[in-house]
Amino acid sequence: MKGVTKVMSAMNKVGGKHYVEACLSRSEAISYYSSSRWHISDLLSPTIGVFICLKCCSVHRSLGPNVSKVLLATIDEWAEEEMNAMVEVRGNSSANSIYEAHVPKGVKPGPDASLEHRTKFIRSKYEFQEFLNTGLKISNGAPARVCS
Amino acid sequence: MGIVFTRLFSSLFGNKEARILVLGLDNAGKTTILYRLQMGEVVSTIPTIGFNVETVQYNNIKFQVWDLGGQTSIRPYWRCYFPNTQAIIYVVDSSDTERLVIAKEEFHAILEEEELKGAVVLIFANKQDLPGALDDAAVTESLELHKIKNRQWSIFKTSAIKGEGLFEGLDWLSNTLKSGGA
Repeated sequence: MKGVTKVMSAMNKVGGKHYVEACLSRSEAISYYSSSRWHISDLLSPTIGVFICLKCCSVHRSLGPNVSKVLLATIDEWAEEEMNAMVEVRGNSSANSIYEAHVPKGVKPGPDASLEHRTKFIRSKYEFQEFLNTGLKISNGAPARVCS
Repeated sequence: MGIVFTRLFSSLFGNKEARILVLGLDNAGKTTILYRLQMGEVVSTIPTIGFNVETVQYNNIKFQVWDLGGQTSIRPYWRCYFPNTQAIIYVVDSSDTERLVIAKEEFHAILEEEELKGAVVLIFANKQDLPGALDDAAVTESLELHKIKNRQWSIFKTSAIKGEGLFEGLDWLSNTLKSGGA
């Protein structure tokens, strides 16, 4: 439990909103905004280093832990390297700048997209890594790192 | 008189009720299996905090199926559900080879439980649709199923997503329970 607090506080320093920009769109991210503050999603994938929304969670879980392992911030036990991975990636926007570097227009699903559409996109993005810069390949267990 | 007749009728045609626990590590596919059995559909799931319970009628047995959350920190609460359980369905993610050792330890800890001494055990080697999934023989070895003593058990290869193997397992379970296995 202590570890989770560490992850969360490390991330809060960068600003909750930055991370709450969920995988799909601003309108979906806004659904986490209530009681005059931003709520960070409780579902995370330390394999990739991102926060996951409720709708995309089941797709991530179906990919297998080598591609995306879904952990709950408040319930699961976190290994040191899993926490480090979350902090190093620096949020969904950072991860998306790598995983969605070359995503064709109209491919990214909107907040009301079907499960099929979501599944296709998420597999293309993380499992097959179709939208990366040419020559780049992110291997299992090594989350995307942003050069500063 | 009505009640007596119903009871007689039930026993003649083998109507039985059984309380089943679905256990296994997180993300093994327990909730997907539960709803695949109950509705015949693949539902989208999030990690189960707490439990899901549904009734599944199959082969004249009314299964009350309890799907308990598998996260490490909530596994200790499984034991609250142990009393009066006729069968365990233990679900393994056959593609998650790294955690098979943990799956084995949790499995044998369950078998040690006094309250589950009479329960029959059905193992689902799930996620056969994923690349690198171990088959039933390899899962049998990894879980050290040969160490099971004084208990009826069986293992089936399943893919909850594709709907394969689940009802074969339930067939075994209903036959075993009807023949007085529990």
